[in-house]
Amino acid sequence: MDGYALNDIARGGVENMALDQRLLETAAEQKCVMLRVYRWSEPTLSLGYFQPYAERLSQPPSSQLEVVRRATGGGAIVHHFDWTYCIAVPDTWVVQGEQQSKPAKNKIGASQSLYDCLHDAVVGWLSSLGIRAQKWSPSCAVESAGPAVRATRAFLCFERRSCGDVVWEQEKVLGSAQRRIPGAVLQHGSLLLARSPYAPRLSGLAGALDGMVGHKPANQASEGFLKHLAQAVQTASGVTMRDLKSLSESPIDWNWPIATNFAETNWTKRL
Amino acid sequence: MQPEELKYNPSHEWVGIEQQNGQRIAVVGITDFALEQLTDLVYMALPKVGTQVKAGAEFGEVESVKAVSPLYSPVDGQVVEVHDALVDQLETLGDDPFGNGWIIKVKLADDAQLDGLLDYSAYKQQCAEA
Repeated sequence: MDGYALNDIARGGVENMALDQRLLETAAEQKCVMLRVYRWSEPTLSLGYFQPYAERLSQPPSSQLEVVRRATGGGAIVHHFDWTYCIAVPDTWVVQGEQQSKPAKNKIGASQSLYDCLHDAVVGWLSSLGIRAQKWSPSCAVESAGPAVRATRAFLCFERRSCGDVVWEQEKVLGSAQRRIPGAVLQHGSLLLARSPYAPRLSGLAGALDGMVGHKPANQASEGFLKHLAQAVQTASGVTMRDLKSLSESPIDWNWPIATNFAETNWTKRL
Repeated sequence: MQPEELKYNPSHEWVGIEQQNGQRIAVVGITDFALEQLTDLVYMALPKVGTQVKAGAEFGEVESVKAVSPLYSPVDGQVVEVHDALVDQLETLGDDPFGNGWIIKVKLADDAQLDGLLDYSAYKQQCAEA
């Protein structure tokens, strides 16, 4: 199986969501792994697949932002000072060395091995930079009762907690969610780098990476993040991950129409 | 309904047959195995009465804590009843997946499609190998 990794340029919300959908379709059709790390060309609110649009209106800090609806579930995310990743894997993707690991055909629900692979990689990458993050579990909640533990149905993803979320100093810094289609799984994740005025309650990594990566141009700064994720996927699955300089080098069949629903009001306001 | 008497999609939906006004109606739900895999359910989106469903095609979606997954119809036909109350009482699915956890009822277009589905033992075998 082939795999491709791209540290992409910043794009608008609609384009980012449509591209991720295409990566998912490519993974299903061509049985390859597609990994993309990216930023957003302007501050954007992404709603979870099942979130009512009206809820955004009760969130004044972000209510005027551009908005898109993701194909993945979970809570809303303010994409301002974050790096987003998208990984799409075919249902033949398996983690090596796990006795019970089998292709995901006829599976339903989340791919825990994919989730763990990426979240462990982020914890490891942060640790290599001296940031002692950990994966959240209910026992963390007992240890850190207080502002870190908030409603599981909160509007914002980073105010929710579920097992496996990456937390640092009681704050969630990485959350991810998946979508299944026949033949493949898509996982979206967001690493919150710093506090945004559009989500002022969330500090994320509070700029802790600034001293290490902040002096570089944004696309270079996320290069190390991408490489670490790609290496983790390769180590876990044995898939050789190739670096791409641009999407044009990818195996995406551009003759297929790219999804247009993400630009439509009927999609964004469907709930 | 008794699980042993039902037929199954490989994608974990069950179907049973009941008679309503002389018509054969397919009752569709998802299995206990699927619910275990999904873990905590958060949302469910269901079709409207009157929707035409196709065997193997998506008829709804369910969101668990970490994933959105499609639900696939085991049969062709027209949706004649939707268990809308489930959307606000998702725990019902786990409490009684083969009974009060039914999701939709479909006016069967082709009885022969049932023959192409898994029986209980074949489905259990698939689950054991998953």
